[in-house]
Amino acid sequence: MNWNNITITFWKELRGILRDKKSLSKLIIFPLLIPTMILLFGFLFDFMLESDYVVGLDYTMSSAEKTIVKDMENVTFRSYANKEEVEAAYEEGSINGYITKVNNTYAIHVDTSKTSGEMVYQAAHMYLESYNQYLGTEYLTKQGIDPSQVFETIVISEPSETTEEEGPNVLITTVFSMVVAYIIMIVVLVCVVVVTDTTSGEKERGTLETILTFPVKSSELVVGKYLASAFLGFVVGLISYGLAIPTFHFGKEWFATYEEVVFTADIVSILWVVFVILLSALLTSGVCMVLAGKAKSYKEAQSSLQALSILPIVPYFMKMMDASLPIMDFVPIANCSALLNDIVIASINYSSLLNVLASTVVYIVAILAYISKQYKKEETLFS
Amino acid sequence: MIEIKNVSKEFTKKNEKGKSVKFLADKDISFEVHDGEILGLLGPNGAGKTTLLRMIAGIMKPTTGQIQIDNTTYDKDEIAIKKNISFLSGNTKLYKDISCVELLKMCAGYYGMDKSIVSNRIDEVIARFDMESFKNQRIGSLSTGQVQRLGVSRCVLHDPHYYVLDEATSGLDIISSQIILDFIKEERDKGKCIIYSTHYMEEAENICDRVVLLNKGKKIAEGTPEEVVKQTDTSNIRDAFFKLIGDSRNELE
Repeated sequence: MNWNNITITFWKELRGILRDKKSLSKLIIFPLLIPTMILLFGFLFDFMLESDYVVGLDYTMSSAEKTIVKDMENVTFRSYANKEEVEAAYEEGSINGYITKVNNTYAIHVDTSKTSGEMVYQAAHMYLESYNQYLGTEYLTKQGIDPSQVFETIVISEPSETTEEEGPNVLITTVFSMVVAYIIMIVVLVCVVVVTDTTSGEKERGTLETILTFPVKSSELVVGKYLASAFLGFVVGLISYGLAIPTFHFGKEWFATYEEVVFTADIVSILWVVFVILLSALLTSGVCMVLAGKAKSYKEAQSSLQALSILPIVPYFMKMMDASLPIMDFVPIANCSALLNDIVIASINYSSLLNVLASTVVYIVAILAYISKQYKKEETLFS
Repeated sequence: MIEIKNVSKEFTKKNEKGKSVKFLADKDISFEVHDGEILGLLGPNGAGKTTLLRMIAGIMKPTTGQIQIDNTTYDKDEIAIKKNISFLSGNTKLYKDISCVELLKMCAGYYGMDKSIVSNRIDEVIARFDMESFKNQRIGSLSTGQVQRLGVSRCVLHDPHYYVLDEATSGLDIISSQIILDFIKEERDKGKCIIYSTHYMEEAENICDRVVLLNKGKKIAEGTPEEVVKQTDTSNIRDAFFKLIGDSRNELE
């Protein structure tokens, strides 16, 4: 292997990508989306949690009901003279939902497809549940029965872990994990841009024929292209991570939403993150080269490679569905994304870490061996 | 010397029904090209010229047969042969986002040229092909003629002994074509070995020392232009070409 030829190819590809306005703009925009997402999610969640929702009533609350709702946060209950008035208020948007009462039957009216509707439903439900319990307690007391004998006949001991996961931060933690996954997604997207341009693009532009007349082995060309793609994927991935650290630091100060979210950025975790981004870039670049080698046109390569960008968010969808599987440690790219999240939230599972590192290294070696053979074939070079 | 020995090239393509079918682009072709000679490769579209030239330039491999250059083959020493050969096609595409000088430097790097002589050599070829006015422009902004002159500069940069030229003057104006034809003759006079494929019969008659005529992947004639004209009992190479193509069609039918 002639390293001079590899170096020339590497710089040729890098120069080509950085001088192409379309490709360059993508390389700049991708990392900028990280701080944008962090700030946007912080703002949206704060806004959602801080918003005051108004629930209309077609009846007047008793003093007991008023006591129940007095301490409820972010929700106000407003009484109207009758059902028509409360419906009119809902129609014009001055309330987010309403409760109607006929005798002792209460009906909650909300649009649960909206976030506000969901919040109002939960608040209304909580109020009615509490009021129902209050009435039960009052009745039992009048009958001379100790209510605790009825309502607390058994005691349920909650596991301590569940209390940590309760509350709105379960959602924000998952969303934040997806922001972290987006760093790996950026690595994938950059490799897709670079590999599509340097392989299928080179074939389509007709410059591959020119370069094949030079005293260069196809393996040297492939390695040069592979390294250029991995290098840009790694650098842009690092920039994305670099932008995430200060943005999250300030985000914690600006948005209450991020108060309890962990984002570790000590020297050890930074080194681990750099290593995982490097591995992801090396692996993704190889996978892209294999797929691009099989594509017959630039467009075919682009569409088949772009599907790879879904892989980094797979672990988070599985987590959201509570369906984490040990096999995820061996799913290329997805495993790097999951590991990156574990490192960032300081929750590393060392057996999982070993699985991910070992499998990724094996994949990289296997893919390099495959592409060195693949790109010797005329059907790959001239298809 | 370049020796083509019983070379055939088979490709697989899909037919109308989507089934893979094999076909021969070149069938059992043999000829030689000597030093100090321009050999014209003539034939209609689809005759197998470009495939044959690509095999001679080492871009593709023959399915059967052998291509020997300087008594060696691509299987034995691909890099040594490629260092001493240049391929230029009328369709040759160059990198649009780099300048002429950057391209020439990149080529010099691939050819492993001594860094101390690269700058002088680049200045020489730039002067020879009158590229001074656009040498620092990006290739994407050049005219077709300027790109082809740059293509030729790329080919001569490492001073190869063998040239494989595939319709190098195709689509060029008369001035740009003449620059390339003059260059080919100069190189021949220096004792270089040149294979030149063209559709222009008058051009072939003027500059080629010998011609090989291909049709549908087969060699149908070989000799000096005068010999081919005499063999076909015609008055010029154009008429000879039509007669041979016609005969070849009749034979195939």
